Amino acid sequence: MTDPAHDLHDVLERATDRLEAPGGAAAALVSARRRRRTRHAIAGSAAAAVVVAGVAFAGSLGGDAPREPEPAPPVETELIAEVWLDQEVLDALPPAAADVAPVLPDVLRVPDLAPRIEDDPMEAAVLSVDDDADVLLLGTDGRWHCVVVADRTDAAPTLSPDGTRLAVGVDGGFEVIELATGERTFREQEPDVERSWDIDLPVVPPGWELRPVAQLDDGSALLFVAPGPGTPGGWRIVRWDPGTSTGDLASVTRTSSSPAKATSFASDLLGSS
Amino acid sequence: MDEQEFTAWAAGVERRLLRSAYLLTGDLHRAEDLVQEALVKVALRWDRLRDGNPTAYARTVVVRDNVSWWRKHRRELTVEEPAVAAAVSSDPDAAMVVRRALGRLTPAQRAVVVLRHFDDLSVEETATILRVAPGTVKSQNAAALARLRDGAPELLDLIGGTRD
Repeated sequence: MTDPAHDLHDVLERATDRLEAPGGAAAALVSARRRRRTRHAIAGSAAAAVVVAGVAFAGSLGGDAPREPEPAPPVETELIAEVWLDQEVLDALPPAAADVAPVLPDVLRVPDLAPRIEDDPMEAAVLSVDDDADVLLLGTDGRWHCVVVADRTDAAPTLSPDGTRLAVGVDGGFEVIELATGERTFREQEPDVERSWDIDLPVVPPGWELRPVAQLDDGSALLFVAPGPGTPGGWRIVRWDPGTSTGDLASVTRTSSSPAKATSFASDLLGSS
Repeated sequence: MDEQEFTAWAAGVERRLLRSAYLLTGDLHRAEDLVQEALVKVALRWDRLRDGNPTAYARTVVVRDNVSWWRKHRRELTVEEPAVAAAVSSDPDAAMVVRRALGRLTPAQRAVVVLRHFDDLSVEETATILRVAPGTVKSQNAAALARLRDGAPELLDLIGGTRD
């Protein structure tokens, strides 16, 4: 008796057995060198900025561009997490809090396709979502737009506090994209400089992921808490006050029809009361 | 970076990547572009990737860049010429059947079939590349095979399976 899966493998092998390696290594090395040179040249005229580990570029996006680089804040090498956001706490959070993220819809339906900002500029975005291939932005008007960046790194794309700019990690630094015009500026990453959150973050249950996405003026932080692969549940946007206990959390519970993940919020647009 | 080391690695994986990319896209030129871009991205990160799994990274780039391309050009259909089928396979008829059959799948289903049944990746490895849960890979795989079974009987003829 034959194994259909094995036979399928054999057919796929046979269907491509004349394809030979095109020998692209040398060309790839040339392209890589050229890209490095281009970026370094651009970076020479751009303000160097600090890339924030985990939350990425929020610190360098605030205010009007271009701006002088800020002194690098101290590196936090260890976060002491003393408070657990356990499942009961997550489930008991208010289903909606009008004062947090009022511009977000109850259900985030990330579209398969959205217009590129170069073709359809947007005034400001309130939320960025990483859908693996592209960055999708939810505008303040409720419409989704798409930002395509080649050579993205794994750093989370991050909106400026006012939602008018997006920073996306690329090799050697990041691109800052003006959402109203689509204009892009490369900024080189300062080596060995990281900024971390200067608050203690809570611990989430096994199977859940936590990511700080915005720090508010009152000292609290917005946390994106989401179920990991295989864990049921919806997103939680938690306003975390490090000075109080879990009883003081406020949240918006959202659901999504897509596995895509939110990466940042425009904190100025979310409300902070 | 150690360019000789990178070149040796590329020589060892390039053909497999191209074949995989061709099955993903059904378009030889696009497959070549995807592989070339993946090699560039690996070269840019070689110092970080060399001690890890650069092949997995390259494969991930191919798959995700293909998804990105598809999002932007989904209305564009490529027509496979018999001459291309003869260039990619010693069995051009089989190549045409496979291409048509895979074309019946959604991009996600197609990626799962290629990664699981051509690249022989595990469910977990496939899930990592596609950034989905392992259960999603399993369900996509089942849906893809069902769609092939129902919509591409000529492929079943090739693999000797039954149509029921």
